[in-house]
Amino acid sequence: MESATPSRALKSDVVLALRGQRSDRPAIDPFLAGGLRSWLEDDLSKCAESLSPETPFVLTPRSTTSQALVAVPTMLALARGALVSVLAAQRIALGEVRHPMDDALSALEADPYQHDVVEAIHALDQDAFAQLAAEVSAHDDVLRRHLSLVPTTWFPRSNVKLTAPLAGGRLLLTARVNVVLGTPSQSVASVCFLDLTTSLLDDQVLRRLGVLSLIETLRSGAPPLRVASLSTATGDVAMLEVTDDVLAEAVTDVVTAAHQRGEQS
Amino acid sequence: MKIRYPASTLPRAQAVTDLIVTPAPPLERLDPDLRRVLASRLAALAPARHLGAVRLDSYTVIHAHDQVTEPPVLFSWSPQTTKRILGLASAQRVVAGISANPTSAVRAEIADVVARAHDHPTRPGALGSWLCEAPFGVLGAVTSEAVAYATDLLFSCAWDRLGDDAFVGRADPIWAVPGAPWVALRGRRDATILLDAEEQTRAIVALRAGRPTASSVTDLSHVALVEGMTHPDLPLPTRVVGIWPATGKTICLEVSKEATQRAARSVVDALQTMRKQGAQRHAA
Repeated sequence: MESATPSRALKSDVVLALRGQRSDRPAIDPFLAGGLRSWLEDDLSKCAESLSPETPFVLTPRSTTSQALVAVPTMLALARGALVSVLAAQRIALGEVRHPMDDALSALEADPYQHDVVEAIHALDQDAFAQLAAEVSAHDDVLRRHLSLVPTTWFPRSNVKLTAPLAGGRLLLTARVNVVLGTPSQSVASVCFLDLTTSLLDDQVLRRLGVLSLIETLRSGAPPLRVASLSTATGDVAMLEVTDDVLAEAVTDVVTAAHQRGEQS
Repeated sequence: MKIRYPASTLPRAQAVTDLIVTPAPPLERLDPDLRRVLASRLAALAPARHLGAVRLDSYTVIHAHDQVTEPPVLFSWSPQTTKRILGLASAQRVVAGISANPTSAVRAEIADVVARAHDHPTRPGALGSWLCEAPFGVLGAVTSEAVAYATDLLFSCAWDRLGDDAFVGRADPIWAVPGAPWVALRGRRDATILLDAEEQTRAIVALRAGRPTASSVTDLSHVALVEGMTHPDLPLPTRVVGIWPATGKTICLEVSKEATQRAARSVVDALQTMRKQGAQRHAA
């Protein structure tokens, strides 16, 4: 993927880099999404025969690009991820964070779906809690560097869920994106995604971003302009210009993963 | 039953708007006989009043027959439960030209709700009271959820094309059953578009989470039925357009007498099941 911006190249202004110059945005091929969908439907037809729309097979960018089944992260890692995710949403929504751990924890406490995570955080002893709070604060420093000046005119929104049902809903490609920018694409690509991770960027990150782009293309009918992943642990950024090649590679990844998972289950 | 889909052209919002405003002959009003029969059946099936209020919206009707394994969760305010109220009010601000974008609209809306609660103290369970006491982090989550909802709605149609004919974020219509007013039908819809002011024909837009399923047509039919029940003097809505932003899908139900009859039957079946389940829980 030659179009990828090398990791570590963008220590700041990831949002500016994502948006780029308006004049440089590529035109949209209105038939691309339909073509990609047909390709997927054809290649997945055999695999989908054994599936039912009531119990669909779900693939995420992570599960699509991992060779083995994705390991379940520890509760502490989940808690850190959840805390950093709400801080990113808060920075986008309000433009500031006052006390990283307090703000993030109160937001999680107000979310009934995060009950288990909140319980686990409250069960930490004083030292472990202080360590987690310090880590969250360090991750928030990275967020502050990158997300403090996002204009509201770019229509920023957080934790956006994307789903592309395939094979009559028997297979679902799903993703949740931390930050989405831009209005729906009309004649040129304009939507940008920023995915956050509290761990290090691994060598599969660009393939994951490719699958994310594919899901958006199938969902909205237009590919995103650029997608990026930001590690809040290191501040490293991986950015991908979405091209036809990227999407074609993502189709192959999805088909391969669906067949592999189908054989395993 | 007639289902239509938008053209698969870009931009999607224009294609959905084309679908919404397609001319169609005006429908009749909701059949008065259906109205009478439904009122009578629901009053007869109403669970005892002391078991609590029953709000029959599409979700409740569709899931009434599901096996209940956990006790019902009591309502409380959260970023998830505020997102539609605040998101709709904010989308209304943007469509009316009061705010420039969803983020500034949601911030203004929250500030207004909080100011109103300060100036005119409301009951402790009211949204304003809750927001007044909410920590900064919770306000962040509330704003974020509401912005996402408002953005989805604003991007779903070409509102500038619809102009003054679009009414975004009006309160959901609720029809209380005569004789058993603790049972009520509610039509969850996000916007109404006036198609012909003289004929009073209109299209309804309903935003939905997740993806369309086999029960989505029942959902849209229910919205049409409640619209007919709450506006007996107007023709039935011409169409109900369901939009699922997460999947980018749109389904348009062209409303017919059969669709409202089917929806009425679903409501009766759902209440019958709920009554049985309520009685079993009470006995246990």
